[in-house]
Amino acid sequence: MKTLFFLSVTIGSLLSSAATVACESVLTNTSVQALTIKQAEGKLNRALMSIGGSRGDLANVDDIDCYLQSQTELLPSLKEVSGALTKLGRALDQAGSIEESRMAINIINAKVARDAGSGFVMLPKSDQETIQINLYAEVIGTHCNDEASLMCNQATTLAKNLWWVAGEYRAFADSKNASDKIASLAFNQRLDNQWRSYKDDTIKLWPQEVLLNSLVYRTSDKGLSAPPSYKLLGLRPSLGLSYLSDQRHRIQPTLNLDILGVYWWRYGGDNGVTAQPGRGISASLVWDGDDTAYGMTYHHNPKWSATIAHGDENDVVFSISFQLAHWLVAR
Amino acid sequence: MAKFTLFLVHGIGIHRDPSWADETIEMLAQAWDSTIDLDSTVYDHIDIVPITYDEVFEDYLDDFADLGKAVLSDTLALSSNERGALSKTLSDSKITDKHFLWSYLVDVVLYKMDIVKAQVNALVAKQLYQRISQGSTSDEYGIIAHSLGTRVINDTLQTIQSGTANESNFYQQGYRIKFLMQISDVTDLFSLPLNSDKHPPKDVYPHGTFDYLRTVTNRFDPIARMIPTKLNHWPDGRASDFYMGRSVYQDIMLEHVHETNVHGLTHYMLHPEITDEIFDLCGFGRLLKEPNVRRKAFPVVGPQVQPSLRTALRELIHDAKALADNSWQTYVNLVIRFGDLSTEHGHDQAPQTHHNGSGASA
Repeated sequence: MKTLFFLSVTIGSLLSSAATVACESVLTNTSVQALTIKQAEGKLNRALMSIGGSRGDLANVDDIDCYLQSQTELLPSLKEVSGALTKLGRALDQAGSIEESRMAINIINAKVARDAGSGFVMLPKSDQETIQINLYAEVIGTHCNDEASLMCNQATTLAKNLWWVAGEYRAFADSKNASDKIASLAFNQRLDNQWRSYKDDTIKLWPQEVLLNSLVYRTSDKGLSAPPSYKLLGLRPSLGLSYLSDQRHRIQPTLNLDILGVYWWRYGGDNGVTAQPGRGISASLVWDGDDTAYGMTYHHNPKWSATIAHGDENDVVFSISFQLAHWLVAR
Repeated sequence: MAKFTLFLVHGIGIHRDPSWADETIEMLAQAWDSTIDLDSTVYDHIDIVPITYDEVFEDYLDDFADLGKAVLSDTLALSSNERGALSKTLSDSKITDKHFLWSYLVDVVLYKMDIVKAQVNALVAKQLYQRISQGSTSDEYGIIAHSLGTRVINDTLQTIQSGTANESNFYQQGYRIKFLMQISDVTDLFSLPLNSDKHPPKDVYPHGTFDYLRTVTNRFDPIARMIPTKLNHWPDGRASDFYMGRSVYQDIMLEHVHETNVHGLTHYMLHPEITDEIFDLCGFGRLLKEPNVRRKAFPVVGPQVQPSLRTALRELIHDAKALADNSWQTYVNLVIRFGDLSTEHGHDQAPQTHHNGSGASA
């Protein structure tokens, strides 16, 4: 990251001073050792494998442009590359707004790539087109053979520098995407917390309710989806303590069932992602072992609910959840 | 280049924390030592990062168990002795044991639920992003997904790509995923049971989501063989493209049987063709020692495996093809019979950590 920051500063300052630095000072090979093709491949391989391979003495856009133009005898296609690459670098460097930066990052991301395994680099050669260069075959293979030569040395340096240039251009984005990265990290954490709260801090779902809610839930067309602020209740069993107006033993346990309902809440708390207790309502039935009464249930929170129902023979059923009953008895 | 970052995404089964990948990482380290012509270890060159999402499924299953318990046990006025007796009965009768079918299918069924899928995608995206955002846009990243993880990562990448730059769309921040390796790919299995896929992976293809795709199938893995990868959503001709000196897509078919659980990730990782391909995609292909020799020398049947297992697996695949294709009945039938076969040949149902037993964890 230190390297990239330096690159950004260097580009900015040198662009404004009209790039008077000679390209030889940055990327030129000073070695005079003659190389064979085997030695050249070994050198390139080590360069591609090296960890943290970016060099400290970074060039700027104009230096890179100057260097690439000076190497067109070794690789003629660089004539087209240098101009297109420089244009891209300037676009990103001069991008003022976040939108301009994103646009330039997208272009570089699509047009500049490198693959250490295959030894390829991809660079732009116009606004629309790219060129893929096989560093082993097209650069070293063209200028090296079993006989050691200085030309082979130059070709090896060019191959290593093309690899380096592609890496540095790809790294340009690092100096421009900081605000999006900070926002994304916060977004991901918020979304994860919200989903956990959806599942754990509100009424728990039975398997059939997971299916029911999934049928109704609509994911976002764009990006990751946030959880809803409701849960549908369906065929939800619970035990209740009920008052039955027509029974001799008027208070007794019953099986209560939320036939269909909804439970809703708001997200709040310090971070705005914690589901508040909420409440719900549902159509329900109460079964005492013999008769069934139908009515409405009010869920005061995930644990406590109350039901009022009407039976077959005009009898009235009032039922509360076992949790509420325990709480009342305990008091 | 900086270290390559390699994400591992698990499949179905129990994978509560990142230690699920310990054995796979160890196998990669051993493969590196024996095949890469370098003195340094795999850890010096590749950061291997396990992704975990099973906690979402496990939490839902725990909820279901808690709800059932609340209704059937806690709210009944049982004494503690009676509750203990009930618990012992359930345990002795193995009613609470996770059946093979349960272990394998319940994760898939839950992932088909949109509210579960959306949470899983958010969780996977968070883990991916936390790691990717630590690196440079010039660094390289790859993903190996297994079984259900193949579908999970497809959905997650598609969702990330459709988002905005400030909501973790790392593509718009300048990052690329170099390769996606789908081991025992079940991406297209999600058209079951009604022959329709609610969220097909329509936007997951090179060079939008990754540069290279590899699908890996074992000829005797019934899960992977059920519905082969179709790539119907890819642009015309993309599957046969070359990009930066590599084929964009390769379907790698293996046919080794070294364990009863031929579906397991670690069983796939035994084959040198897979580890060679991983190291090549990570940038170390030129350092592989005699890849062809090692692949030819790799035994098709492992030393601990009776040939009868291989025959039985072949018959299983053959019989499955005779059934109606692309139906949920066929799939369930196949999984049950695969479970029976594994049991018959000594596959232990309990989750295990060593690939020699290849437990329910897959």
